[in-house]
Amino acid sequence: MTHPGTTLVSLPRGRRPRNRRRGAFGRAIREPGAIIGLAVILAFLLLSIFAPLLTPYSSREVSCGVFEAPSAAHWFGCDDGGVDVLSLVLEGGRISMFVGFAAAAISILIGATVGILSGYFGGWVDTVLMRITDYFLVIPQIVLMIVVAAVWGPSLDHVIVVIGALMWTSTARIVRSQVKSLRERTYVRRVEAIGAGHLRIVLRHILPQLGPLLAASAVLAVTVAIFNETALAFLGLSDPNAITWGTIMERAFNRAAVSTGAWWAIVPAGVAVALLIVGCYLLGRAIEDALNPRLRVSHLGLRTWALRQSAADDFARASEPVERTRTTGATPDPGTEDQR
Amino acid sequence: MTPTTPTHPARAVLELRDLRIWFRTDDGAENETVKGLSLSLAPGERLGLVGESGCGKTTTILAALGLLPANATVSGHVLYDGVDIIAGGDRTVRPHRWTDIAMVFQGAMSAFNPVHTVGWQITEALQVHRRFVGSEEARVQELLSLVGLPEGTEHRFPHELSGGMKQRAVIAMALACEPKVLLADEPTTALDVVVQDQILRLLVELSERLGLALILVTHDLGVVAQSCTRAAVMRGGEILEEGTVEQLYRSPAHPYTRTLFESTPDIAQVGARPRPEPAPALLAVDGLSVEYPGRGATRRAVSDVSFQVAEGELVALVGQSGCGKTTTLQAVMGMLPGASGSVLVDGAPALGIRRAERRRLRERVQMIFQDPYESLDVRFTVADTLEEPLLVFKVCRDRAERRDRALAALESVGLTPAEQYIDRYPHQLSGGQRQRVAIAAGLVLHPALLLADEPVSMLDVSVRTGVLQLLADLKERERMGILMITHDLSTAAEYADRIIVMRDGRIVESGTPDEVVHRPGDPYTQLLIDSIPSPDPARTT
Repeated sequence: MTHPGTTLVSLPRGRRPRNRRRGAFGRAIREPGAIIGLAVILAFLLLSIFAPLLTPYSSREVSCGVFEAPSAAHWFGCDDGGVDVLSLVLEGGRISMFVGFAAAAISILIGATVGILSGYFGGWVDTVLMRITDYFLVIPQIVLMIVVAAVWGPSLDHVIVVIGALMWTSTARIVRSQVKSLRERTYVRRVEAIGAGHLRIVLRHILPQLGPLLAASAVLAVTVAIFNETALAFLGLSDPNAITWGTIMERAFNRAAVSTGAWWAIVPAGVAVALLIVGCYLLGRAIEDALNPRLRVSHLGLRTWALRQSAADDFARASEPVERTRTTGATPDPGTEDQR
Repeated sequence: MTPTTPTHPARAVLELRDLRIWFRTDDGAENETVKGLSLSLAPGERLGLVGESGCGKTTTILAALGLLPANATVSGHVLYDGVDIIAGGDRTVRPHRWTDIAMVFQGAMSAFNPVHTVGWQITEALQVHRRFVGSEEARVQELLSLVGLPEGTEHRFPHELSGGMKQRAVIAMALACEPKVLLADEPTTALDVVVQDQILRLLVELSERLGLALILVTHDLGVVAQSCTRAAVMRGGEILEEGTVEQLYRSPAHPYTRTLFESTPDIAQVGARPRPEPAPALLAVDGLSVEYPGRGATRRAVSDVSFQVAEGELVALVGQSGCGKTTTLQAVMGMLPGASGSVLVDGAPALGIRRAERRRLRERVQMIFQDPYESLDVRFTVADTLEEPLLVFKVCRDRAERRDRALAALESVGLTPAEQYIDRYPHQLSGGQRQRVAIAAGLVLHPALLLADEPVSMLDVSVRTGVLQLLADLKERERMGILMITHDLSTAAEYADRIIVMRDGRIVESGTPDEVVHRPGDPYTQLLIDSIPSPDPARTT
């Protein structure tokens, strides 16, 4: 049997059969980790989208005193310039998340392309692309990002491109190995024997199978991208005029929020970054686990099969096979009885 | 609770009484896989457990050894020498495992750890059970000579042994602790027919010499007829019929048993058929040689092979694994640009051609693959699969025309009414239906030549007949040329117009089934024929 675990729900809704086995997404989304992760991501997305409606004050206007402590009017207090921190964090989330998702998209695009080309064609294409991948893999990323951001000048676009262009290596490698195994599947060879071209095989038969894998990669890439963006911004290498979680923390840090004891100027932005990263990580992990059913092999565990005592080989049960209540035998073995 | 009194006059060495097994699925539902099965095995008796895939035969013998996975629930009794060994669960089975009841597993080829010698691994089994302490080495040598392996095999690594030798070593390992009962799960399924014959003889001889009771689980009635005294036919977790092999063959009581015997090809019944009138050759292979660069020397996979397939002819290419039959097929598909010689399909060359020419070739030649479970994309409906070749070659004007052709193809492979099948997904089809869909996908382009790579070897016996009959019909009705490769000479003999026997990359014999089976010219063909287990127990080889 092929594993429907590697399928992507790619058909129009009306044509999907109802009794089709659940794909990786279907199974992943039933894990508690995935539900929490998805809820966190969705919450952040909604907060960012509706940030202009939700912010109590403008993120550019002075609405209270310098480093004013949290109060009913200003839930998260104020920063050094007398700006409401809650408004800043909500506003900053928009850009931080945009940077994170855009950079992740770039990295998935490059990673998937490189991985598919190299896994599908093999040979010298594979060798060349994989050596390039190795090259990118050994570059110390943060250092290169600092250099590029310093040379090109601080700007959000540069941050997105730099993060995206450096993060695709792991995606490329995972995709490559998956494509290599898909390529040897009989149905791909059958389509090849029919006379289909490479483009059709890749787009119609291989790419859809990569769906969940790419989704897991993308979600995990978002965490790295947001983290990297925050780190770059904190180091002062992002656009100083943009409000992101990183610049909020950088500014507060530079204006001695720590030494003044104004923790509220730094912590909310940091907690937001941490929450979003944990959310993405939980969801990505759940999809990855669902993709690899071997992680849940039951017959290799220490548990064994269970015994159901047939009540003295009764004939009564044969007449009512529906009711299969377990009657405990005279000498129940705790080792096997608790398996049910 | 534990019956200790024997129920049979000759006390059974192993008895299964009202065995029921349930498997819990991921959604918590329970499937009853074995439904109240009872069997008894006398000392030294050989019993065949026959059934098609999924009938619960392997589950049954795994339960007898207490080797079921954690999601299984068992009820009933497994009596060894009158004592219920599963009454206390895993704890009470363990002392009997391997010392009283041993097993030869299905995938015996991979039963050995590749980094240790065969002798080391058999010694390990002895040490675990603290048997023959101090004389393990002598015991290993004794065991290996018992199964007919040459001296010194104990110092060899698994990869140095052939498949047949490995299977012998696995049997030696199973016999290590002098069990009284041996459970063999499809012990010869992965082996070539000649080796299969040797292993079956070995099992029979061991059972007679050591008084070993044997349960042989298999899907092949020929294997049972030739090596067992009694057989039980299983379907859907129940035993339908039980009796001596003679009884089952001569007068099967259950219609299912009759169907099974009828679908098992019997090579002795191949008769002379009228020769088809000569037709123009569709495929002409002349002096085909294929070499693979190996370490050091190049290996010749196919050397100087010449044959023809005419319109409306079914030619079977028969040989054991590694004889070069698949390589020949790939060369005909134009997939091996490095092959030398000439391959003409409908007058057009298939070797050394460019991409565009190969595309045109694909329109005329279609291929059927061995594994129907793998050869369909799980996300594609039958309609998607069938319309794909039409889209690739842009032969239809619109969607309606494509659907019509897909429906027609389904009808021609016997999936009627076609409307009922066209929107299904592969998992909603049985193995035989999947193979029919795969064949239909090859037919939508109306090819002239069909290449079939072991089209039925993954299918159950009762389904095979239908698929093979379909191929025979297609060749008659559509005047298609079919080249089928198979390892099974008896299947080939029943359906092919001509048989080509290959060995080590060469053709050793070719002719009509009647000629090849009854008047083989080559000793190798004779050996192949003699090794095929006949479903008639009276006709021992």
